[in-house]
Amino acid sequence: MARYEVHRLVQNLFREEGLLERLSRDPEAVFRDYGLTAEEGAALREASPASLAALGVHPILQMHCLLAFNPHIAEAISIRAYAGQLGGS
Amino acid sequence: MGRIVAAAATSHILMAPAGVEERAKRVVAGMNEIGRHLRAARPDAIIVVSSDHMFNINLALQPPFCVGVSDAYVPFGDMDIPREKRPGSRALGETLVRRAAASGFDLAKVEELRPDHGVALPLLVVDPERRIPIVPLLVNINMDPPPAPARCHALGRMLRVTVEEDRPADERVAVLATGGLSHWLNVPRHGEVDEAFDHWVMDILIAGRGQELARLSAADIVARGGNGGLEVMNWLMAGAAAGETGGEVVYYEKMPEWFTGMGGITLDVDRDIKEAVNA
Repeated sequence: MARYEVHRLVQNLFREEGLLERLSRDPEAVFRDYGLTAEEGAALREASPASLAALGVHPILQMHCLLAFNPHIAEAISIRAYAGQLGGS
Repeated sequence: MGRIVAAAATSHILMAPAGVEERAKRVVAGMNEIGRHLRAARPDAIIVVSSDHMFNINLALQPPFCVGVSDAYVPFGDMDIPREKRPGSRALGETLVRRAAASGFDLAKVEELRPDHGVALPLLVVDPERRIPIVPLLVNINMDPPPAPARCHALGRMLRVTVEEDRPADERVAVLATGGLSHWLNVPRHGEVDEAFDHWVMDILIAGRGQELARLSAADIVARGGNGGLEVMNWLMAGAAAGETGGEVVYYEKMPEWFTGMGGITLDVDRDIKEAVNA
């Protein structure tokens, strides 16, 4: 299991306003703020299933990382294609 | 006394249909059928039993069960679900928590809940006009250890007793369980679907034999249905709340492309709960 410092950052990705933008602009500063080691920061920068699993990130929080850093995954896990099809009488 | 007038369970995700168009159509048709079933019962409120995907309850605070007690809910917005407010039934939520406290359950009350897709997506199908007040009941399958299936089963029964004994006369309550079926997410066996497990779960619930599922440990369910498969405990709760009379399978599609078995069932609700509890 990853250290809580890692999980704390990941579980804030979609909850802390501006965090994603700060990560994009200056990831090292964010990693420092959250108390991450260089290895932990590198794994989050890579944000691949392998790097996240190796770090021991909670499986559901791995999903948060994948959604945050891989736009094609966020596009696939979406209801947009079903507009007008849900809730029919 | 109030009444449980309908109960159902359904998977709670949708993904892009590319490459699985026909199966995706059948899934949507099945979800819509479940929506029609619940609406036809004209519920005054819907208890939605789901997991949370760590958008609300994460590692910072890990209650096993949470009950929403708000007047309204705005979805978190994951999966591009519109952040459109829908009403909540504070009174029903409060009654559940109070009855639970007197019955050996300690449920966490939540005022600031932003329902993620687990609660919000099925409601797009069941109540697209956002008129029926809801009570989200979150089962924390992501904590270690998770709640035990037997505990979920007992809590499901308590839901019904609460509605029948503590709610106003003529209140009509529906129970909607969401999540599942088998899926292994970001763990070894990632992406696998166990169709046999999925059918076993649906078959025992529509046969009114939820106790067989309740006898498993959470670890048993993880071994057979994956870490995400623990969401079948939500289905177990709906079965218990329905009184374990029976039901029918509405849809099932094996969807490894979506990393899960997708299914839905409706549950009969006519049996006297005391008869079920004493069985």
